[in-house]
Amino acid sequence: MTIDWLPAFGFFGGGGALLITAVTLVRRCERRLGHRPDESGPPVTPGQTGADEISAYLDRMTTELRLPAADVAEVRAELVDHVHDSMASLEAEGFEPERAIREALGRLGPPAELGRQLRVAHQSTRRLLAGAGGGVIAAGGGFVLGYLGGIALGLLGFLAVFAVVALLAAAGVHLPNIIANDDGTTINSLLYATTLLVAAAVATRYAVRTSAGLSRRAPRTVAVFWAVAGALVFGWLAIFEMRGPQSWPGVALELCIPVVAIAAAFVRVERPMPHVGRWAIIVSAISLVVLSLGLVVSSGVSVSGSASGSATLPATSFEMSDLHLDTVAPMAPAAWLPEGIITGGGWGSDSTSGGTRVDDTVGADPAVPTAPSLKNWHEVRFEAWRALPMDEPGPGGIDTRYSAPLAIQPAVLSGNSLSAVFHFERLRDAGSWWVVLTAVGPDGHRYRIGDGGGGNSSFNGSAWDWLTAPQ
Amino acid sequence: MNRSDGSGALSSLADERQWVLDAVEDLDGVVLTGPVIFRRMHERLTDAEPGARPEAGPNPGDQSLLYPALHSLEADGRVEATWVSDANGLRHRTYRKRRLLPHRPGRTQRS
Repeated sequence: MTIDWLPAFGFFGGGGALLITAVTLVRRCERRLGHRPDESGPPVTPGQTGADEISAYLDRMTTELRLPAADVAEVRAELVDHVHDSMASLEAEGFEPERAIREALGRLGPPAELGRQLRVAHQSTRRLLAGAGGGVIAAGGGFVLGYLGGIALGLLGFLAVFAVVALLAAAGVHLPNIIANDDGTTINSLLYATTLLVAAAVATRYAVRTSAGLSRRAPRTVAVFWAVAGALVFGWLAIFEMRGPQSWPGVALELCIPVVAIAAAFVRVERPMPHVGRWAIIVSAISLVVLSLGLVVSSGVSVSGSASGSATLPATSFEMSDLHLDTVAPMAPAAWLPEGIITGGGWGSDSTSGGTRVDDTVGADPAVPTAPSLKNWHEVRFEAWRALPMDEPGPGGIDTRYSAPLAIQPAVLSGNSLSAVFHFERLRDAGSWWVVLTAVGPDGHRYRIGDGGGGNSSFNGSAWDWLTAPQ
Repeated sequence: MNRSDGSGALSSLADERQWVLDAVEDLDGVVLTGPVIFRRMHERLTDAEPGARPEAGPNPGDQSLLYPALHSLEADGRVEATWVSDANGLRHRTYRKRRLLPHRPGRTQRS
């Protein structure tokens, strides 16, 4: 396997940079949204001259302010400072203290109007655009962080269930095996959906909090926009774009992702985000690199190990009748078989469509043209039949419980080989299959003109592909 | 009655923003608190030549648009605000005009 280093550096570097930027932005916005009152200027001290009047004025002003906590604290502190300064000037001019307070507050105008004007001043278009941009970046970084967290959560859940099942089995409790013969598809699809679900939730929450902090708006005010955006973007991603193994539980979780994005935007959104420490970021970044490299390596191994096969028959000792190929069609009489009989073939991944390409080579002698050798035959086609499990002991062969093929594709002649492409990966439960070349002979009956071969396939596609897939 | 009432509120705020910018224009690294900026706005108009004075200036008895103007200028990136401590340890919010190049360490002017 070769690694293209430039895209790899771009992927890991970009993901890491996005993660660090997002966490930095969120931290900054959390400080603004969850401000502690002792961090700004002078508070109104009880017992101080005019403290009650000043507090009442500020309280009325604050009801119209509706800004993040840090901004409210700063505005209040600044106005207290201003009023004290004005009072000192007015008293120097000969005002009585009580009158100086009223004059100083009166010069600032009606408190509600001042609060409204200050809110408009803070919530500028420039800050709104910064909030939108920052929200997008925070969503990207939150998605990376949530994805890593989702993987960890999924693996922990898997280990917990595995431990419980092992304990119950040790205690003699018999549990039905609900994942038998699915090549781990159910577990993989659940891990995959959980990861995406956590990532969507974290990304949406990050976007709301960051956007609110940067645009100086209450989180609930901007949550509407991010709820719609999160539901659309992550819903689209989960249902139509992300491809992989699928199962009913996994698809059900993926269909919940738009709802989860909306919930993440609204539920308890005024509460501060959990603090993400430096070590959490470092461990997440290392995990991202290790997991991604592991995935790349394992996918390379699995592709090279499973994407092709041979049409030759199983090597174990068996009779041809054990394969039950006559269920498909009787073998063609030797006299009618093409000259230079079927010499073999195989199957592999079709690079264009991602399906399974089946080939049968016809005519061993290159000097003999293939087309004339098929002159006795018409409606030449490949038939895919459900097969006995390939990974179990026994010769395999056609599953005789079925009386019709799983799929049929016309055979296309190219050079001296006949080929067709099957999309087993788009069938929910293709499992084991056997493909046989058949054709209609001179007597008008369909015959088998090769013994074919078999393999295993599992569903690979989006949740939408799964929902609309034929059985 | 203050300047933010009535239909002239927007133009009043625009005028106030301009007066604030004029007041913090020619300071070299000095940061000013809100009350000092207001006094400086008033002094600049009082000291100006009669022919150069605008028809209306800031009313010393009306500070209702001072902080909306300062905060909107800060939100637009025209001025920058910082909290600084005085000799008594009290913190004050100060402003100065934002520049492309960094300032030298600033001095605070309160009165």
